[in-house]
Amino acid sequence: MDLFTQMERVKLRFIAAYERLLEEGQISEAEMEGVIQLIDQMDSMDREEFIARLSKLRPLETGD
Amino acid sequence: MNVAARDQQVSFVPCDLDAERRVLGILIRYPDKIDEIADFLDDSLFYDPAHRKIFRAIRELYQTRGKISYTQVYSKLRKEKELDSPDELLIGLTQSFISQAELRPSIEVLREKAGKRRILQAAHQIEEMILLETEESLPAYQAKAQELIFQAANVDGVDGEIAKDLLTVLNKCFLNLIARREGKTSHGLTVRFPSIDVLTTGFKKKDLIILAARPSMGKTALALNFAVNVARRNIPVLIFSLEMDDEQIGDRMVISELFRYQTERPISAFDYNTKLGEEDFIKTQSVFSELYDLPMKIVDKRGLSVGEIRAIGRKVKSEWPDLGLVIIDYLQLIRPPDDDRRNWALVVGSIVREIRDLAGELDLPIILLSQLNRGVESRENKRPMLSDLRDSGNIEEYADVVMFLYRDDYYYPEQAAEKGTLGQVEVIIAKQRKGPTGKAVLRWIPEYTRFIDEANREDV
Repeated sequence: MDLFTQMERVKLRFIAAYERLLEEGQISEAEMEGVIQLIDQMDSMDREEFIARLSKLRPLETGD
Repeated sequence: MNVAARDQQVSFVPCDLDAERRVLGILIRYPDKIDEIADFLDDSLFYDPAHRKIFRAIRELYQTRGKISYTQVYSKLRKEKELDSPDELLIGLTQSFISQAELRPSIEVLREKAGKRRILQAAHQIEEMILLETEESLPAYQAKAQELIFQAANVDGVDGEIAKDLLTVLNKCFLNLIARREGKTSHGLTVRFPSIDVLTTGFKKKDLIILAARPSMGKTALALNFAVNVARRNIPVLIFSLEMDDEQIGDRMVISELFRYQTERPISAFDYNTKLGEEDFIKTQSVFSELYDLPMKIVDKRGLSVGEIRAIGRKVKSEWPDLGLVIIDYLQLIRPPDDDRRNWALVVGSIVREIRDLAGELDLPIILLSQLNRGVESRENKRPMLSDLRDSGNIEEYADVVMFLYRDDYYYPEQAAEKGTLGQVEVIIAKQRKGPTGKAVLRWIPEYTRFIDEANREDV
């Protein structure tokens, strides 16, 4: 599997995880949209910008 | 539903879900391919409704944004709330192909499967129609069944390119030019009346030719003369006679050919219809022998609808792919749909339009005879004009060629005798989309129901 495909799969899994949080009522629709926007634009951001914007999103619970 | 369950559920339907996934996967990864395949691919080719929705999302995103990503497709699908797990479906697409070179062959697979599904669906509709007894008669069932199958086999926009390159068009024109130059084909279908052929350069494929006149001007006779002249070149002809029966048509053809003996000892229609002497009988037999071989079919059923004419036309075309001419005698005898409550002019207009469409579908010229109303006779100059057709629906609007027949001696026999125009028939080409208007003059020999070319031509 090439890098592009791997990245697209990771992005979809990441968004799907947030989708579950939305279903459970842990995040709002606006936050969900924010995640999708961020993931869609991540290829055009540098690492620092991405981390800064990611940190503003509610973190996923690790379950430990 | 997961991918494996989805695949199992459709195993008896003609489809290839892997090919559908390959196409979608390639289009998300290489969206510029959408422009290349726009003419060949539409959502109806996808069997899986989810794949159809994904394809529509891809196409809309490309049209509005010019670029596509899995994230955008996911976002669009989740907003539409029509798919249960878009993430699973999209993840399944990421590994659906190896190379973008698989796109065209995969689309071909989709087209083949979709074509089979359409035929299968038509078969189901035919079965249902018969079981539920939806039609009134066997011919109506046959007509409906043919229509369903024909529609299933011909889907515009998917089976061919809609927007054609000029290069492709000009290539076809050039090949036609070469074929004409080498004498392999003519521009149109000539009817062997030189003064008419020189005006029309032959009747073109897909054209609707209206041959209109007041009664007794010789419409049917001229059309039958055309038919025999065409069939003599081994070009099949189909005649719908909604007025005369098959024997009347056959007799007319024979009598028309007996004209050749006029200079010797003439055999008249009267002789033919009473009792022929031995010598005349032998001559007449030879005419029969000539006509036997002509590729011609005659449908002499009264009260045919356009749907039935279309069904018969398609059937004959499938038996005779090189069918070259259809003649329908005549428009006002075609049965309109029973439930059509529109005024007569609108009904006639839609019948004419459907016949023009049939000419296009069968790829040949159709000559549709039409009777003119009495309005012509209220004028001093009784030559028909295009406006004479307007009261009977927009016939002239749909026609590619409008021909009128006019005989001076019919209205003014004494003047015609003085002017020497007895027996003269003007074939007035009042409209011709692909050529000039004008007038050809023929001679009418009523006792033989035969027209002879006088090889004159005047501009109208």
